Parts: sequence; C-alpha cells; structure tokens
Amino acid sequence: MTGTVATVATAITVLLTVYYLVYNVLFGALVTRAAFAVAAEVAWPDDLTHELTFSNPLAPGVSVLVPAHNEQAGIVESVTSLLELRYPRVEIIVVDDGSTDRTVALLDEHFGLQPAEIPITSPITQEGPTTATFRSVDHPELIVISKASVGRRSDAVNAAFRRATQPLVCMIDADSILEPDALLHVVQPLIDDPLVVAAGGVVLPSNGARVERGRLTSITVPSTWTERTQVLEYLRAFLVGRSGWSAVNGLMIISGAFGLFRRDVMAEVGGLDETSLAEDADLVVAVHRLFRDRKEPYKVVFVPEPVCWTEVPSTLTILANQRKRWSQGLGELLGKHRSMLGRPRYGALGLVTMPYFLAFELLGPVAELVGVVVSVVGVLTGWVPLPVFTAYFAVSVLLSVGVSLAALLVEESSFARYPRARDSAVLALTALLEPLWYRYLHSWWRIVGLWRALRRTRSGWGEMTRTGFAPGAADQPSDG
Amino acid sequence: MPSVGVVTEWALGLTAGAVVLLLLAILVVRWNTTRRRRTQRRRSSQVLPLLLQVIDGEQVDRPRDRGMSSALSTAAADLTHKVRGAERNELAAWLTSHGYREAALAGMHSRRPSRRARSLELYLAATAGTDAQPVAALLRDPHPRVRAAAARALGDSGAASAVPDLVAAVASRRRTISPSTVAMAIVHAAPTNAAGLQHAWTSPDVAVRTMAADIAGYLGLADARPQIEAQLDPKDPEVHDHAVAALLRIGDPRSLPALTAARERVGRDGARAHTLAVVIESLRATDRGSTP
Repeated sequence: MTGTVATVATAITVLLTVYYLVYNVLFGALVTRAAFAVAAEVAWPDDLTHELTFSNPLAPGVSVLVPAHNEQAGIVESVTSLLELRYPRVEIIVVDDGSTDRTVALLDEHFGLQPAEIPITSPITQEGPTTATFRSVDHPELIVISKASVGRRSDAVNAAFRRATQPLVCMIDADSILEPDALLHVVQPLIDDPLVVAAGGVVLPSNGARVERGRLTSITVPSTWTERTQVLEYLRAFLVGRSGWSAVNGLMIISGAFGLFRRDVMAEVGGLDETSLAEDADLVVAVHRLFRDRKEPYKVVFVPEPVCWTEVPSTLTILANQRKRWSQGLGELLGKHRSMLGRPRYGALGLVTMPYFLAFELLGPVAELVGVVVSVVGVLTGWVPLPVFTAYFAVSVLLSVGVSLAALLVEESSFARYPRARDSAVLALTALLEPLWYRYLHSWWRIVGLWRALRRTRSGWGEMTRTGFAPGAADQPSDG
Repeated sequence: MPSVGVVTEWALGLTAGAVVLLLLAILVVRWNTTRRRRTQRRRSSQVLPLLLQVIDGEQVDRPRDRGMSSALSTAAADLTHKVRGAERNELAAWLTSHGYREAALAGMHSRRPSRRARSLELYLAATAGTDAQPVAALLRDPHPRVRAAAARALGDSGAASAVPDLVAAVASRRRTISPSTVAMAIVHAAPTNAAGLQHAWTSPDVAVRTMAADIAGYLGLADARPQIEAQLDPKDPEVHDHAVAALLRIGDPRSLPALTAARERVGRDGARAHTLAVVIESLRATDRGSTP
C-alpha cells in the first residue's frame, strides 16, 4: 500500500470510527430516554380516565381517515374493527383510491352503502377527482368516497380530510386493525393537555395474529424470518425511537398507519403534501414548523400503549420495494425541509432529530458501504490484519444485536404484548440473526432509495400482496 | 496509548458482555412479568370480596401484606365510582379509619406525578367526594396530566361546588387545563344551575366561552340563556355556532328574539344562516306546541 493510499484509508477509518461512536452514544441515550418515558407512561392510572372519556358526551369526536387502494383482502375486517372501537363519537371515512378489485363491492355487501351527499368542510387540494360518495345504511357513521387515483396515498387521505367534520382526525391504513381502546389512549393527551396538537401510537405487525370480527383474538410472532425481523424493527422504531424523540419534543415521524392530529392544525398546514412519499413525516415536520415559526408552545407526542396491528410484507421482494420507497421519501423530506437542519429556532427537531436522521438513517448505509469496501480492501492488501477486521465486524454485529435486545427488553418490561415465552425467545433469536443477513439487504435497499431521491424518481402506491386477516385466506394481489 | 488490537479486544468484550446481560435481563423480566401478572390477578380476586364486605358494613381489617394493601387501595378508588349513597359512605369511612386517607394525602404531595394522580383518586374515595378542596388544589399542579386527573376526579365525584374552581382553572394563563377536560368534568358533575359558570362568559378566551355554551346546552341549564344569547356575535363564529346549538338544546322560545336578531346580522345566505333558520323554526314549533 502506498503512503498516500494508507493515509486516506487511515483517515476514512478514523472518521468511520468516530461516526459509529457518535451514533452508538446517541442511540444509547435514546434507548435510555425511551425506557424512562415508557416506564413513566405505564405508571399512570389510565383505566378510570378512559372510562370517563368513553362515557362522556362532550369527548371530542374523531374522524378516522382510511385510504384504500385494492384492499379487498382486509378492508371488511379493518372497517369492522373501526366500527367496534370504544369511543363515543367516531366518523369513519374510507377513500377508495381508484381500486380495480372488489374493495367497494365488499364494503357495499357488508355495510350497505347508498349514494349520499357528503359536504366538503376543508378547502384543501385534491388532485384525483371524486367520482362518488356513499353513506352506510346500517352504520351512518361510515362514509365511503370513490375517487380517481393519481398513484399517491396522500391524495386519498386529503380526499377524506376534505370531508371530515370532527375536531380530531386519525389516519390509519386500510390493512390495519385498531385495538378497541386504541382511540381512547391516543386521544387522551389531546384532551388532557391543550398544547398537544398531534399524537401517534404504536404500530406492530399483525402477521401471525388471528382476527375474528375485526378483533385480534391471539397474538403470536409471525412464522417467517422476514416478518419476525420486521417485528423487531417496529419495536425498535416505535418503543425506542419514537418514545425517545417524543420525550424531548423532537418527534419527526408519526406513522401514517396510526396518527392523530387536531383538524384545525392539519387544515392550516394544507393537509398532506401530495407530492411526498413520506407524507406522514412531512405532515409532522410541517406542524413543528408552523408552531416554531409562530413561536407558539406546542407538543407532538407519542403514546406507547395503543396498538394498531398492520400487515407487513411477507416476501423480500415486496419488502425491498417498501423500504426503497421509505428511504426515498426520507431523502425527499430532508431535502425539502433542509432549511430547518441545525437551526436552534426549530428546537430539538432541527438541532438533533433531523441531523440524526440525515447522518444515520439516510446516510448510514452509505457509511456502512464505505466501511465494508475499506475493510475488504484493507484485508486484501494486508493493511488491516484479519483478526482486527474479524473483531471489528463482530463488535458491529453485537452492537446491532444489543440495540434490538434493548428494544425487546423495553417491550417485555412494560407491555409484554406477546404473551408466550416462546415468542420472546423467537424474537431474541431473530435479534441475533438479523445482523448476519437482513442488515446488508436493508442497507442496499436504503442506498437505492437514496439514489432515487437524489434523481427525483417518481414513485407511487407500491405493489403489495395482502393475505388479509381472516385465517386461511388466500393470497390476493393488492397495493399499499 | 493502547494499540488497535487492545482497543478492539476491549470493545469486543464489552459488547459481548452487554449482549449476554441483555439476554439475561429479558429472561428475568419475562419471568418477573409473568409472576407479577399472576400475583396481580390473585390479589384483585381477593380484594374485591373484602371491599364488598366493607360496603355491606361488615368488620374488615386492613390487609397486612403491603401488596394486598396497595391492590385494595387501587380497587377502592375504582369501586367508589360504581357505588352511590350509603355504600359509598361506608367505603369512605372504612378507608379513613384504616389510614388510607392520610396515605392518599401524603401521596398527593409525592414528587412523582403519576403517584399524585393515583393518590387523588384514592383521596376522593376516602372522603366520598365531600372534601374536594385538597383535590381542587391539584388543579394548579405543575404537571398537566395531574391537573387533568384532578379535574376528572372532581367531576366524577359529583362535586358541583368545584365548578367555579374548574372554570377558574381553565381560564388561568399559567398551568392551564384544556377546556375539553373541564367541560367533560363539569358535565359529569352535572350542576343544576349555571351559577358556577359565571366567570366563563366574560373570558377573553374563545375556547372558554365555547366550553361554557357547550356545558350549559348539554345540561339544559335554562338560567344560562341570557349569557348564551350574549354570545351570538358573528365576530366570534365558533362561539356563535356553539351558542346556537346550546339554545336549540335548551329549547326555550324566549330565545327567539335574540336568534332572529342574530339571523339578521349574518344575512340570509350561507350555512350559518341556514342553521339559524332551522333553530328558529324548531323553537317556533315548540312555542306553538306549548301555547294552548
């Protein structure tokens, strides 16, 4: 190895070491903060609170917005779960976004739809024109809007939002099942604290669970490693990531699969950005920006208890498409709001969360790729001794395992939602295996997503195969 | 300075140790969670019969076991919302005579917000809602969730005397409580007149006046009619709409002149004018129905 090359390689190695050190210190702090936040949350006496809210006629109403594009596999179970929510005032608005399957026909068969005039309440933009509006005969609180698709979930949510009438709006995915008390949990912070303008709950994979009449009757860890790995990812993202960021009012993402907003605030930011692939995060950042620019106090919170169970991809092909889209969306989002990065006026979001997402979530795979290339070249040229490389690799694997186990520990010590000990053992084993296979695939997908963001590639609803919630249901093609 | 090899060895040892520790922690926590849940289920099934004996006026000793005593206080705070009259008083007297009231008072000064919230519920159970003052003091607690819990507990205990405190809390600029929480609490308390809402009508905060209109309308507090009619100002559209809805709920035809004047102010077109027309027609129908 020549002197110059060795100097460059040493510089890169030092940089990467500092990079990983900073990342692990930050993530360690996040895990610790999240653990305290979850423990504090569990200690609150909420049962009576929810009973009183449930029985109160003045509890603020919620419009639940459900964008659906070819969701015949699970739409009936999903809407049934919404109709059975324990909440005093719920309006459900399903938007059929140009479905070519039996989504609307199934809704009609099960809930008795009839054409109805549904007035527009918010003048926000909707690109794809509305073709029909219906109201359920059996459940007047259920509204169905059919519209032409422009290939964007955000446009479908906006179509529902335009007709929402309740002071709070909750977005959920059409392949999701809300726990019966989920709304009571997620609404409570907005009732209790006038400064709270948005709240998000936990989303967990429903794969492997049994659903009857819109309710989960048994929760088990899914059967494939791809799905099990996603359970761990969701635990890491929600219990550790979002709890931690929320504790410092720096929450950047409320999942589009389960997020609650004050309707007036969402209207003020113009609803969802129909051009964004990360429309849920984009909305949260826009809300932060609105209040920070006005210098008004506000809070965006995460509630770790209520769960929205959602179907996650069961094959690597579909998962790859989803993750590429997410990474592209994150890249576009950070590019759009780059003026907030590192600015003290945007509080924890501008100073910590956004730089963290840029450096470690978006550019993390690039750093990993550079690290792998430098290490392999180092080993091949003899510059890096093989034992050092092996030990370095082992440390990085063990750190990844540790992060997943920490998330699992937070779950086990707080909610322990997977009731069987076998499930915990399987998840712990998944954590041990994940860095050996999934991590590299995931990094590659994220690099592709970043590349697409840089090239401004246009993407829309991704192709997704849904199995639905009914046990034994056949695979049916769907989008999401 | 240590060599790269030594540092790597240390890092490897530390991370491997951390992973093993985490695995052990998961194992212990899993075992502990299973055991704790089983114990909680057992205690819950044991304390409920004890509390039922208490409300039946039987002689019951305070459990010596700390866990049982804690489970009993939680169950008592829950049960007090489900019983009324003599049974509630029996429960309160027993909790007071067995030291739960003092414990609750001490807990209301705890440094942990969640403990303050738990304790205020127990305190209300131990006083049957007759001594609401210490709970009303928590309406100014530094933690917003404790303030909200105090408001809810006051409402659910049926302490109509606490309505002025609740209104003052929502109108406060420091340590405020959300109008939603207060409105829900007052509706639960169900006062029979609007005297307690007096200060809400003149609040500069639109949300407070809207809240007052909602409460008065929902509870049908006819004595608030003049104050609600005074809110029919198109400059504050939100209050205006809630005031119209409240007057419709109260359903007193004496509101017709105020509503008619409001309709003149907003004009003949638009959704607001349409709503006013519907309400006016409804009250006229009531008036015709009540005229012999």
